[in-house]
Amino acid sequence: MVRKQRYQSCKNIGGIEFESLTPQPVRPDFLNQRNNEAFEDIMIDRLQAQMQAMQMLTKMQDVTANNLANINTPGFKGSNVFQKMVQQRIDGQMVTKAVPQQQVDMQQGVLEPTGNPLDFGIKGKGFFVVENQEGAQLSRDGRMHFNSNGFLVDENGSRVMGDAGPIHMPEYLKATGRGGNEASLEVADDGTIRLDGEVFDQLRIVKVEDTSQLERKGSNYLSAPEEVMVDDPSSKIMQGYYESSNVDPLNEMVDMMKTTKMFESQQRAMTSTDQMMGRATQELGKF
Amino acid sequence: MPFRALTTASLGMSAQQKSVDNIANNLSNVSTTGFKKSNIAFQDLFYEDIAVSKSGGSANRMSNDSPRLQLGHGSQAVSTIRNFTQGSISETGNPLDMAISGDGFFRVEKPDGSIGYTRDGNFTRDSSGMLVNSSGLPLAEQIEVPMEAKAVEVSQDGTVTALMGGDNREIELGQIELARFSNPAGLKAEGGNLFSETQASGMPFVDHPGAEGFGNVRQGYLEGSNVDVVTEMVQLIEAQRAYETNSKMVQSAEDMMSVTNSIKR
Repeated sequence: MVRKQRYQSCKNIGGIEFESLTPQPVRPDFLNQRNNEAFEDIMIDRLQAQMQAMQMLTKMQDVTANNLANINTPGFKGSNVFQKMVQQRIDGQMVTKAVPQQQVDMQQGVLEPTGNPLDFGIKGKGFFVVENQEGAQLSRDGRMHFNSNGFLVDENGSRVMGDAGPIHMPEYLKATGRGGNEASLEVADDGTIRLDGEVFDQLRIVKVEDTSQLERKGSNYLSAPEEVMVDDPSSKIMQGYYESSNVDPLNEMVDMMKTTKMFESQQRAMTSTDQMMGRATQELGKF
Repeated sequence: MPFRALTTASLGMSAQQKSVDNIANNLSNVSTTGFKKSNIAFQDLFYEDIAVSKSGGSANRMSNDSPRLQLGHGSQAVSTIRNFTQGSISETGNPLDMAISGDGFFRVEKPDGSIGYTRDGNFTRDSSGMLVNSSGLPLAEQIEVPMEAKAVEVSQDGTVTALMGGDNREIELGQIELARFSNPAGLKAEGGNLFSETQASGMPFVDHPGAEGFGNVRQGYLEGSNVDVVTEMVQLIEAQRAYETNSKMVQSAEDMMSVTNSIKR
């Protein structure tokens, strides 16, 4: 009975779901007197811990793989993985284990010049706000264009938000090339959009102080609850630039090798635990 | 799936592969008349939220002050963005070569009757005297140059006049018109230096060259490709290196798999 409960809780630990563990019944004292079973339990605990470590390392490798795959994705922010020690009371025993945690690395990516007036890079911690069917999204990928209806949109066709809703500029399309000259669309470093010198709109730039609130959405989007998004006047907009990925290949390669080697040593440890258990059952059985 | 890293890295490799393919196409068109280069756009793929997917709910999520684990699935090449900046203009001396300085496309009629849009102004006269492009498609304005014409002149606003051989009389043959799009990035490249309109590009505005927003026509010049070899080479190196690091990740994931297999003696 006790054994069965333990296995159930172990399954949960494998899935890193420490918060949702229900309190387990306190381990009865008499178990300590049954030496055989206690001995076996320790061995199984050890295997369990090694398995968890390997699962954790696999997840770390997954995160590194995703960072590397996005090494050329504009505006991509890499993930940092770290371990958090969690103490948990399972079966009346305090169990300490490491849980992998992740954080969006907000380090600035290199701003690449393109010369395209509708490419924008952000210098600082801010995000562009764009809107798609799922609501407001945050993005650092500033390669934008006008769609045929005159809305400023990003790569995915999501509307870019200004001070008062989506930025809509049908005039710009008509004005292009007035008198043989291109109509000038200038974006100042605070996001103010000027059309032939006149202020037209302002790009909405927000930041999220607590990066743990950021949720990755794919398609170069992140999202955060509305209440933690604050306007960010400190970020500078660079027109004619886009931000490249902030993934550092050197760090990622080192992480990758480290994880692989740690995975190997955990496997060695697991094999020797297995050998010990094998000897315990075989040698002790001879008496 | 165990060892997501393997598939993630392989998706990263295939995205970079597409980037190399695109650069190869740009480079092979480095001297194609009127060619416009394209850039490839990458995005990250979807994320799997580990904590949510296992418990099926997030009731106690807010009590968890630490960030959760979101595992990504790599990157994908989502679109190519064509870059319509002006290509370099070079003099050819051929009176039927035309370059557009500024915005706009020549319109040629395709065999199925639809209109193709091109920046390639390498026109010639076919056997019946029609102005056709290098692949034999006539201009949509159907300009016919008479056999006895001694010289053809194209003004900056597209008016085509011919100097007749016998009496040095000038006759007007027609006017070349240009097409513009509100979103040229939405045009579909068809090969043969032609583009066709799509829903994304919108309907064309047609007007004579030099009209508001339209470029001028320069006779005797051709627009070269706007591919910049140095930029392309740098991008090629970037893509190749990214491919390489991703291939190392595939190798490393494979190593981990064989380590896993050796747990059982």
